[in-house]
Amino acid sequence: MQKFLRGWQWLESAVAVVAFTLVAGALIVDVMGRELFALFNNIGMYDFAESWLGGVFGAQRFAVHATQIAGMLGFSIVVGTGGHLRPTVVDKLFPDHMDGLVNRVSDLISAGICAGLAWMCWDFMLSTKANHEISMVFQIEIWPFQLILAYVFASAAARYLCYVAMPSARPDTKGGDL
Amino acid sequence: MTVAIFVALVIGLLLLRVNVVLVLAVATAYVHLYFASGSELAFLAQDLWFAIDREVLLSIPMFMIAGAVMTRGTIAARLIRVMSALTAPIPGGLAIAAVLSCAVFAAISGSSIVTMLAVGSIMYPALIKEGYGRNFSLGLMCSAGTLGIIIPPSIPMILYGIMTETSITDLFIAGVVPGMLLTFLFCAYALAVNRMKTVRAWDLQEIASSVRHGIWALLMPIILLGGIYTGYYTPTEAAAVSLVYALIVELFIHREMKPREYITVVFETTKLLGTLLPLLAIAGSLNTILDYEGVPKAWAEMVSQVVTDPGAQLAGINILLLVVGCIMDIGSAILILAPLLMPMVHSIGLDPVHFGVVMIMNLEIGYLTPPVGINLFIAMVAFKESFGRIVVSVLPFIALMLFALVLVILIPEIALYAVQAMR
Repeated sequence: MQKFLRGWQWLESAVAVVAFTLVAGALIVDVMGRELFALFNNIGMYDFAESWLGGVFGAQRFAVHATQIAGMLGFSIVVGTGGHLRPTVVDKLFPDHMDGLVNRVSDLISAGICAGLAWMCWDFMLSTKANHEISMVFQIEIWPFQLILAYVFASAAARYLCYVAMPSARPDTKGGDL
Repeated sequence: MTVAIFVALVIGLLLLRVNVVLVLAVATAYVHLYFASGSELAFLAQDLWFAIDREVLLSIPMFMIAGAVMTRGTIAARLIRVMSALTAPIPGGLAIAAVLSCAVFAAISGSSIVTMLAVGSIMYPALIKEGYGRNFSLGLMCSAGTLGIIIPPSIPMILYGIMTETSITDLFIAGVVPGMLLTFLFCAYALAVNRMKTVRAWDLQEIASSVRHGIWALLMPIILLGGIYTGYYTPTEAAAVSLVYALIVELFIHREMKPREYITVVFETTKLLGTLLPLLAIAGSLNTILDYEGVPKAWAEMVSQVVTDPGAQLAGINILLLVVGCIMDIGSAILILAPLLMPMVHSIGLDPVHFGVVMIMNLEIGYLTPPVGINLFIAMVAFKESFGRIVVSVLPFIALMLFALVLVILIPEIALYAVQAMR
């Protein structure tokens, strides 16, 4: 199961890295494009430059969607690395020999919460799909982007359940900060 | 009864080691179901989506990734060399160089931990080797590291701006002078403590050489902040520019980062964003429903009826923030408290930009106070010192930070003069 979890983590990380690179690329192209076309405008190529002076069409919106994918996948990845924030000072309230049990209960509850969130987000995505809501910039239906919410919570729930079944696969929950 | 169940649920989940983000999700769902009128659980998912579907969020991952790129290279080492060369003739010059390096690095990175680690990992052993007191050096590095979140660009300032709909550019401008004030206080303290230390004369050759090697690092804050302050680009665009600049400098000029390392950098940033983005989304949902129900306004009215003096209200807010800083991480504290405190801030007549700086200065002190003083824990691992020793070492610096905080509260112009001048 540990091999499976590592492969799963690798796959999500790869998608997140690609999405992140696209975010950076889109924003850079947007800023650089605007500056470049301002240069064209300054040297008198008005017709050519005019429509690009506000930046590259849709670049920022595209970057927002790529950030949603990278950032939300990060949620599931951080479950896999045990980095989510939590007050570790209260850990001492339970004696050391109860650590295994408490962690398992914690993982089971976390799995339940994530499953609930996944179901809610799936339901929300279905309602958006039924209403044919579209992206104002790209004029395409928005629901495929919203799938990421349901996916990451479902993925996190499944990961927590794996830890309940196999506590040795559980990472140290060391917490973190900005 | 409903409130009692709510409190018990939150405390119970935290005791059972459930992550803050999931506890917050349960709390928000509970508020939607049992406290809010005419609300339902579906609104939580809707709010989650709207919270992460905003362009303003883009600056956060960009600053994170740019900071991570720069931390992998030798930008910090180059800045330290310049500062050490410049401060050589001053008693306690190396300590002052450490503070100044943190201040300049803070103007590149938006994070306290990154600043402390990048500069501290080089400067702490150097300070000890030069005979500076162990406690003084530890306290100095932990405290100067916190400059990372008050001197712009600052990720907590971006979060505050998003949650309270305050101009991030104004916040960035307002943070400069308070950051310089703290830098000055730390330097003055370093000078006072080490006034008997022997000094060296200026070595013009070393100064020229260090500036030549560090020029690209020194230009970074000028390009980054200069672009924002002159209105040439927005904070989001500045974040993209800073990433391009960092990549060009590290990959092609310093040549200290290999293209393969980019994947590691992005992976680390993804983890940071994965911690922050869901927290931001769920806190956004909680704030939306509380705002819809008029809770912050009602709370502000209730407090102002009990405590009529605006000065006492302000003191109360600051004490609350200092206590919260001790027990919560800065991101969660801003996401949850900033919108809740806003109506009270308005009723006192405080400028939201001024309050943003005050809030961040309060929570900045929380980086140095147990039990959740994150710089203390990081320093314990990075500098291999005992927790008790580190806690004692930061005490004089906390006093200096409190002094600076009181000054910024009493004299709003410290934060606002530059903002008003540039409007």
